[in-house]
Amino acid sequence: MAEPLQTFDNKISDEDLIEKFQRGDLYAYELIVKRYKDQLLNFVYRFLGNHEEAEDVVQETFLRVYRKRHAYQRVAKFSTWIYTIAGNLARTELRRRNRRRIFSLSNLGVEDKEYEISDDILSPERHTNTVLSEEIIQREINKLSPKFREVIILRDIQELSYEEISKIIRVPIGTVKSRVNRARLRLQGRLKHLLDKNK
Amino acid sequence: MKNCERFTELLSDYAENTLASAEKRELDVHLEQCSECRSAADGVVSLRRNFRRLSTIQASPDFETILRTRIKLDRRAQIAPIWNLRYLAPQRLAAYSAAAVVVMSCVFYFWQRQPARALPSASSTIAVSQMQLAPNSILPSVSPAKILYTLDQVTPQLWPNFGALRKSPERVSSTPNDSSRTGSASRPAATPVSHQPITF
Repeated sequence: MAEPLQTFDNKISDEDLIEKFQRGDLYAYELIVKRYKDQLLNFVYRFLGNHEEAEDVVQETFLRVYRKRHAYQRVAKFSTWIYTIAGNLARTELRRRNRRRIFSLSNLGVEDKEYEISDDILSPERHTNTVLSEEIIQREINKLSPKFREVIILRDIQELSYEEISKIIRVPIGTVKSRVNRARLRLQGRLKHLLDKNK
Repeated sequence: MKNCERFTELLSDYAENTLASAEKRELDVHLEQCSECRSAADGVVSLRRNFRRLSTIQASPDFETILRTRIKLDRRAQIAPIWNLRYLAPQRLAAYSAAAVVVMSCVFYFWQRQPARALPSASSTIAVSQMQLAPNSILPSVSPAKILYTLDQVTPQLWPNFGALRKSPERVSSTPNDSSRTGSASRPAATPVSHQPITF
C-alpha cells in the first residue's frame, strides 16, 4: 500500500507540489522538505563549511518557503527559486560571520592574533600519502571568494546547469562559465599534489 | 606560450566534453606541445572526478521536527493580537511618546500661526455695544470702549483692523479721556457712552 503512494510522490513535479501547497495541502510541503533538505544542506554546507550554521540556514530557507509560498509563480523552476532563497541566506550568514570574525580579531592581543592567523593547522603535506581528504577539498573551497565558491558548488557538486546557475545568482551565463573555469583552475592548482596521488 | 591564456579559457568545456570539434582539435594539438596546459587540463578533469566522490551531507534526524516547531512558533507570532505585550515594549513606548510630542508640537505651531479669520468681526463688537445699551438688559453694563480696549490688549496682532476701528472718526466717545487715549497703556474711563450706534 505504501509503495504506490511513494511512486506517486516521486512522480509529481516540484511545481505541482508547490501549487498544491499554495492551495493549502501541507503534505505537499512535507514532500518538498523531504526532497530538498539534503540537497540544500549539501550546497549550504559546502558554501559555509559549518554543519550547524548550514542546517540553520536550510531551516530558515524552508520557513521562508512556508511564509512566502504565494510569491512563487510557475514561470520559474521551483528548484531555481528555492536555491535562490538558500543562496541569499547563506551569503547573509557568511557576511554576518565575517563581521563577527573581524570584531573578535580586533579584540585579541598581538600574541593571540599570531595563533589565530596561522593557516597550516591542516598541512597538505601531511596528507600526501593518504587518499584525497574531503576536509582538504572543503578547506580549499572555503578559501575561494564567495562568488567563485558559489558557482563551483552549484556546478560541480550540485550538478546544476549553467542556465539554472545563471538564474539563481542572477548573472549572465557567460560570467558563470568564466567563474567556474577560474575556480576550477585555482582549485586544481592548490590541490595538485592530492589530485596527482588520486588519479 | 602566447596561446596559453586563450586555451585555459577552454579547459572547463574540454573537461565537460562540450567543446566544438574544431576547437577540441586545436586544443589537443596545443596540449601535446604545452606541458603546463596539459597538467592544468588533467587537474581540472581529476578535480571534477573528486568532486563527484564527495560524500553527501545528511540532515540531522530531528531536522523536520525542529522545522515544524519553528513553523508553529512563526504562525503564532504572526497572528498575535494587537494587545500583545510586544507592542508595549519600552523601546516602542519611547517611540510612541516621541511621535506624540512631534505631532503636538506641529499642531501647536500651526495653530499659533493661523490668521485671525476665526476672530469676531467688527460688527459683532457693535452688536455687543448695542446689547449693552438695550433697556432692561440682563448683561452686565460694559461700555463699547471697554470691549474695544480689551480686544486691543488681548489680540492686537491678530486683529489688524482694530487699529482702523480705534482711529475711526465715527466712533463715539462721551468723555475727553477716550480721545486722549494712546496705545494700550492708558485705560479708558468706565463711564457709559452715548446710545448712538457705531458704524464703520
